Amino acid sequence: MSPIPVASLRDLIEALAEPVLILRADARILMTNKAATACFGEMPADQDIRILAPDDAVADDLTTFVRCCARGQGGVERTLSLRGARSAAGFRCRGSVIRALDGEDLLILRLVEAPVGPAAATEAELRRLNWALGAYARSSEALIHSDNLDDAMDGICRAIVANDVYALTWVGLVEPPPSKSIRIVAGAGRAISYLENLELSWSDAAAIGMGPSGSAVRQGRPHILRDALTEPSFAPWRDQARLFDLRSSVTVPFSRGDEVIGAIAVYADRPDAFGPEELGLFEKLAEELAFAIGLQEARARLKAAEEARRAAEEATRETQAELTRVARLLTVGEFASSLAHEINQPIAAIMANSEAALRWLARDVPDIAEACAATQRTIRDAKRAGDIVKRTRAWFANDNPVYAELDINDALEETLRFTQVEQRQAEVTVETDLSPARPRVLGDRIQLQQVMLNLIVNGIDAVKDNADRPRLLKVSSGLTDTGEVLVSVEDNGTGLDPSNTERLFQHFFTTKTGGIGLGLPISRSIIEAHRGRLWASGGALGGALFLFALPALTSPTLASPAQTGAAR
Amino acid sequence: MTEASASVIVVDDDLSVREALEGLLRSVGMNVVLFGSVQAFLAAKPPEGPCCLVLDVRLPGQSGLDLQDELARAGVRLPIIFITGHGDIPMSVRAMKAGAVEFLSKPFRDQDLLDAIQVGIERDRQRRKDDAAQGALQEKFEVLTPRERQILALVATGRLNKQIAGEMGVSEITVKVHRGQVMRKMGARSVADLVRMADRLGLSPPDRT
Repeated sequence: MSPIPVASLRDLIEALAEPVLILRADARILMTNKAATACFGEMPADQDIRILAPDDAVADDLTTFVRCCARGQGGVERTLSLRGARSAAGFRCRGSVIRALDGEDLLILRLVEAPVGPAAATEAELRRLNWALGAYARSSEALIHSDNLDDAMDGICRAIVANDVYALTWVGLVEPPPSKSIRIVAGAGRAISYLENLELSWSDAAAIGMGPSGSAVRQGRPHILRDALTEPSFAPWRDQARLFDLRSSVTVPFSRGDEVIGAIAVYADRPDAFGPEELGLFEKLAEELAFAIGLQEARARLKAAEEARRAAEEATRETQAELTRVARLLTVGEFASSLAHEINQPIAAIMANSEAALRWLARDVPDIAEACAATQRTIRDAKRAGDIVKRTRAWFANDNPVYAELDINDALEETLRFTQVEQRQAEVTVETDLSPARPRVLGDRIQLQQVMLNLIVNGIDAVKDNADRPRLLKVSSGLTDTGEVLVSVEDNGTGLDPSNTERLFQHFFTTKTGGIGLGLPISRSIIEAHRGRLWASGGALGGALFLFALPALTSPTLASPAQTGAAR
Repeated sequence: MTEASASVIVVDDDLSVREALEGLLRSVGMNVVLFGSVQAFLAAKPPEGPCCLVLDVRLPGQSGLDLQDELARAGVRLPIIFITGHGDIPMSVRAMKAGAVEFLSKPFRDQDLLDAIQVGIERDRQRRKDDAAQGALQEKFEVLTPRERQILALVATGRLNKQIAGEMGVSEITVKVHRGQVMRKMGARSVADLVRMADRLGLSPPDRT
């Protein structure tokens, strides 16, 4: 991380009149201000803090003090007789811990000549500055450690009012024209209710734009309100401020580039509470706040870009999966065609070989050698045909079914969408009657959709030739009393021959001209693998009715209406 | 004229089918030539004598239907019998429209194939005979003088000698002499025969201006 806060620290300690040292966690000196150099002479970097002590006893005291500070949350104070002290009282040492951007804890050690006698004004001044430095440290920490801007601004506000020295603070962001308002985004302090209904503007056309925050934003310079009771431009807020006991304030604008983007304001309950030191601190704070806002905005943009990319990736993945599924379903059709071609080759060869063998034997002088050769070829080709069938089985059976909970209606609707082209081409009216209970089963979506696709395409084929009546296909789902999900596909085609209803499920039996007689047997084996049943019968529409039943998935959570309603 | 014996050319990429067809056709006493691809078939010398092509539709590289188109474009009129493992109706319609003898789906009955082959070979034999006759006719026509050719063309349109003489600007007797020469040279037994020959030669009467 960049050393921005460290650089800021240097500016900060140079602004202070008393000697200030910044120590690393191991009590070695990181940097000092000019006052410290004047007091203790040049101190090379990485020197141990013990060089400030005139003897070992004081050195030990100093080490202990540093350790105390490092452990505590700052604000530890001790008087030590360090070298360079002009009075016997030595230095009043005050330490506070600050965390640098790179995560290192630094100790800010401020040395003030201990007063010989009590000096109230100096004491008050000291307390004020001590507090300011602590607030700065805590604010910086809040900035660095928050991962969102709201938290950071909230943290800053809380840090500023932490010791109850100030009554109220807020951070506001500048709204662009035409509204030209100042939108308060964070605030803290005992007078926090002052912010309710507080209206701020930076417009020079409105009375409320002439107040401290409006002036600060417009001019891009800090604005100090010395006394809320007498300042004329504060008139719009005077009564309200009096109610909350707010007497003076400082408003510091912060910018990104040349553009003022917001302001931070601090209020005290006494007049004239803000001197140049406080102003300096708040200016530093405002600067870092602007930096943090820039950083956070960059982070937010990065995050949004990242999220957009991830969403796009997700969408791509889903589309891909969808395509794969459709492709797999379509493959079944293509597969059937190539399977038919492949298996017809050996069968054609078997027939020709057998005929040839018969002819060789039927000659006046039978040619046994030729007949044998033809028969050998027959055997070889029959074996090849068997292998093809075996491979086909394997293709369907070992297709690594993935069993998952699925909504049968979803699967049906999707399959119907896949067949829209066929439906349109054949001018088929598809009627659906899907169970409102949205029955669920455990199964392989692709395999079950293959079955649905098969039955639907069969149905479409069956009604294609209806010339004298409309072409109807009815697809329904339901739940039976016996806990089964029932899916039926019914058509109004010519219907089934009752004598060969069961033969429909035999391999390579077909009543269709273009069929190969594999669809229904494969469908049945898929349904049986799912512990279900697939059968055919005559339907009420006069055509064929195919039904399959699968065990319904009944889990108590699914039974509750809320869950059912939320089912996707 | 002794005719070379008929043969069947089989183009199928499937070895089982090729061997089986070879066995079947040999068992009925036919000559068989086997090819595994269109490319191999095109590279080989065509067999002498009448033949027909048994062609698988689905072949690696160039399909059977493509080959049919190519042969037609090249003017090779070889009777084709298509065999296919999984044919559809548009495919068979296309093949038949382009002049295929038959379109058989595997597995087919051997008799269907043998019948189709008979038809195909017969068609090829007839074509060869026609081609030969045409060739002979052409040869005879080549011997005619330009004037004789002109007269043949006019005779074919059914004009009388007198009309021909008028059109050509010669005497009727000259036409008679030339016409006798044409009949003799062409080996025509009658005027009707000569008209048929002119028709087969695709003669049209000379343009009159």
